Amino acid sequence: MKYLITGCAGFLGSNIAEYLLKQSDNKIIGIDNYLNGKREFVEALSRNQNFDFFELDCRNTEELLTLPKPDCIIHLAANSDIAAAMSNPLIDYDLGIATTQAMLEYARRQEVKHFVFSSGSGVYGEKPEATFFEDSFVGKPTSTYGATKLASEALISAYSSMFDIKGTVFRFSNLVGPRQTHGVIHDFLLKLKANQEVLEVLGNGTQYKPYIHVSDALSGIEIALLNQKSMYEVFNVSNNSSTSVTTIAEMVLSELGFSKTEILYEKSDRGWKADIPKYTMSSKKLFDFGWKIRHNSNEAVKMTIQENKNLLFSSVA
Amino acid sequence: MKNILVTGVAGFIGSYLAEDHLANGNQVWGVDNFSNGSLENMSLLLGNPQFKFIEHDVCDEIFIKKLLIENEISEVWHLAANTDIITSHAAPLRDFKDCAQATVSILEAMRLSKTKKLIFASSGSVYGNLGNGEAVSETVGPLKPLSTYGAGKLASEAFISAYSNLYGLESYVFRFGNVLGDRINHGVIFDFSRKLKADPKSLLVLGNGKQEKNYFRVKDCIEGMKYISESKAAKNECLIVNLGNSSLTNVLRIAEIVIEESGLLNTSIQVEGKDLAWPGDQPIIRLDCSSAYKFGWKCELDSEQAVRLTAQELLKLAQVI
Repeated sequence: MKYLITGCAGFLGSNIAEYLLKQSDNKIIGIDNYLNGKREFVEALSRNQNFDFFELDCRNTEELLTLPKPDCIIHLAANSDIAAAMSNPLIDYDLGIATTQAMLEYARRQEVKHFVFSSGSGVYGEKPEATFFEDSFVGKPTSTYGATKLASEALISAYSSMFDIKGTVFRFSNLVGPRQTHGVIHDFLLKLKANQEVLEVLGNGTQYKPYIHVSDALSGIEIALLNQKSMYEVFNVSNNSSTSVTTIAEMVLSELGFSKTEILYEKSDRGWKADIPKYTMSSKKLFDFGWKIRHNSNEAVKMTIQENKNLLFSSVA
Repeated sequence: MKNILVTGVAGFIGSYLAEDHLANGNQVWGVDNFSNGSLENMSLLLGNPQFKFIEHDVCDEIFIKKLLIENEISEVWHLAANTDIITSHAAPLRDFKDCAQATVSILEAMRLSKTKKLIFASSGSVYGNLGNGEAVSETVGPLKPLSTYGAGKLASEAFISAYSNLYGLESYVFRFGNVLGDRINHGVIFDFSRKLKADPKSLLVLGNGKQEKNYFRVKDCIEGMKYISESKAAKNECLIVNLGNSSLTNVLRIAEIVIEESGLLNTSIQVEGKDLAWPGDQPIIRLDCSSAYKFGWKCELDSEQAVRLTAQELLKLAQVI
């Protein structure tokens, strides 16, 4: 199979590329505009002869058309800088919807018949008592980031029905693992790099969410792609256990051996205005296909701290 | 008296809505880029001193922001969108952009000007094909739109929800059934009237004739939006309400009604026979409108009455009768 991966220099993109390249009959064309992605992630992949990379913005349709035609598009490019989008929400529109729109148009014009997209738990909005299933109500995202995910899903659903493109959407809970470029663990590590006296936590630490290790998520993606039956399908990819932010803060300090760091909390039950402090998500559809999770939420967090702790010593943020 | 902005004011629903706001003593600013609307629709508006028309694209958020600030506008009624679903197959990007980008532009302008109240015209097409034919309430999932038109509406809703939460908007999202009236310039009754004018002997029905939708009149639609958006039920959030009535009419029945109203005696109905009338067609949309009724609003005409009245109007306009 020949895959085109957008956002290939990002956390998930580089991990998916690495995973797919383990099969020698797969070919990958990676693209990234390096707005959020990292050159070192791409360099590591470039040693493989089945990997080709182009520094390219996926909204640049004319240049995209010059690339070799893939069998499948894995569209991951998006804005992951939530703080920047808070002061200018149009960033989310440009990077979260215009990108999906451009890639779907590319798929239509090039007749690429399979489109895979990374969505997230944010499409479900806030419902503290509910477990999110793929068929649950979606329609009240609290953040513009969540809105871009739901908008993209809607557009993929429409293209799938109008132009016979198979659509596969993965809604991830908190995805963690090596080469993380954002998220709570990444934040804590960067904060500790700057100051080891105190660790300031956003919110009161009670936020309680499922963390899934990318290695588990990748096996879930693979199983879903093998078993998908209808033209357009959505899969939750989540752990069935959760970890609190307080536990993460304590684990980070203990894994690093920082016994004297004081943890400072805020009063609010959430880290920022659009934060969903607690949710659970069912991945029953994937479990029914035989998906097994090897690392529970706490283990996934612990592994991720180990995999990323060199951030403390690196010169680049 | 309120200062109100209506986008898509030269369109079918927008023009009626502006007339209604003016009749209630409000000042109305209307914006339209004439991508679907017409000057003709605004013939009762343009002479009114309380009405100001601006020909402009709502995707220009800086322009809209300025308009909101300078005129101290307190409510935005956002109706601008591409309404011709059938053409979107050839130009899907335009369809989506007209809707989603326009909404985000309106939201940005509202955020920057601190305008708090938004009323948005969405559509039952956000539901997609839920399969079992049961009436859908506002809280069902999943939402899998079949057309880029429906996708644009759902994308708009998603952003309205996020902005309402983040920036404290009071927003009302109305998922319409099929709205009918004499200024409509597309849709099945419009098509049938024109076809009968061209050929009174036979009437071709696209699809299999079993496509079944809820039809209601523009007057009921406007009353419903006003009634519910005055309730203040959506403080700092986005309230989603299905708007229409619970009765349905299928396309074959519409063909019969149009022929009855035409007075033609020897017209035969030809059914094309395909399951989908066009790519992206949503053959059955059945909305559960009970949450709208709970506000105390009533839809006066049922689906068949709405179809019949509209058939009379459109047959006259097409000079069949």
